[in-house]
Amino acid sequence: MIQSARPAPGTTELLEVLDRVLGGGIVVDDVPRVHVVGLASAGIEARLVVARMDAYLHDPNPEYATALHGLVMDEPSSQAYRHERL
Amino acid sequence: MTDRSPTETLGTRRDRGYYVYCIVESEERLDLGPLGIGEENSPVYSVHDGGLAAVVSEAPLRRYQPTRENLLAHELVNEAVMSSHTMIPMSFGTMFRTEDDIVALLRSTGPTLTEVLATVRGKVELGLKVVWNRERVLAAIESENDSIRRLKEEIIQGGNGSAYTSRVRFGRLVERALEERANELRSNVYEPLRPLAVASRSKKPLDDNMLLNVAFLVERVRDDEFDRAVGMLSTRYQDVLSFSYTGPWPPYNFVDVKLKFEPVD
Repeated sequence: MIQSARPAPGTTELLEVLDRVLGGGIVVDDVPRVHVVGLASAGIEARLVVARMDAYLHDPNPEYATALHGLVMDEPSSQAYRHERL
Repeated sequence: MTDRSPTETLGTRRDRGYYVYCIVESEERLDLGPLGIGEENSPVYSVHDGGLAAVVSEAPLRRYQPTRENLLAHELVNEAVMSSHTMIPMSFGTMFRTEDDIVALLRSTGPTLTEVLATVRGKVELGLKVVWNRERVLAAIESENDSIRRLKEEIIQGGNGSAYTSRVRFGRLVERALEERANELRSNVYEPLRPLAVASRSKKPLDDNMLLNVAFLVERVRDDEFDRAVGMLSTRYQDVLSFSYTGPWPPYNFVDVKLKFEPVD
């Protein structure tokens, strides 16, 4: 029953990747996937700053039972692409 | 495969940019070989500012779709980096126009990135999805729960004429019993694992039969211990639960850094 770490990249694996890389990690400007950042070169008078930072050393969901009943954390945009070309 | 955008076919210098995979702490240049996203398999290397570096590859400047090839390119680079460095993954599809733009990013967000890197150092993300066999759980409930069993017999004996209220009551009892059992199974799996992880994050189940979809942040030194614990739980509940256990992953679920543009005064 248990899938050992790193199965060959099949559909399950891709879903796992998809579940993470869209909107996970460092996100620029609220628009995942669309950033073409070219400030220095374009001479635009703007800079990138940190809008939000959280590294979860604490458990963000101590009330996990509640969370699991539907009040889950937001997972921006990943749903929309789940079936795309996979 | 060949959906080249007009900008791509022009191929001029200014239509090219840099795809960023992740941020690492490193003074030394990384060279990961021809793993870059896109059809050119461009070399993957690092762009530095101080002790921080962005892992990048040159690529046509466009919006990358989350196709199988692109997702795997993004992920494989990050896995290669992760094996030797503490890293923070970038969200899929982040491109910068020039190396100078990347240096500017590292410079302006350096203190935050350094802090986050320190937080995830020596830790990996592991994923656990648990799906239940609802039919089996239901069968067990019907055989164990006296009032549910009696009510079911009553309804069967009554045939089509059995009271509507009995059927409704039966449905409610079953739903409640299933919910109780689901909560019990969730705790039975989740509770023993939680103390072995530095942090955990419960995510939205992907379908109705998924009881748990959790990401754990685990110290590398406790990796084996965590594996054994998951293995034991998987064996104990093999009649009713299926486990999908994956990793190590870059800490996508434990790094929440959002960057935005701010006008310079």
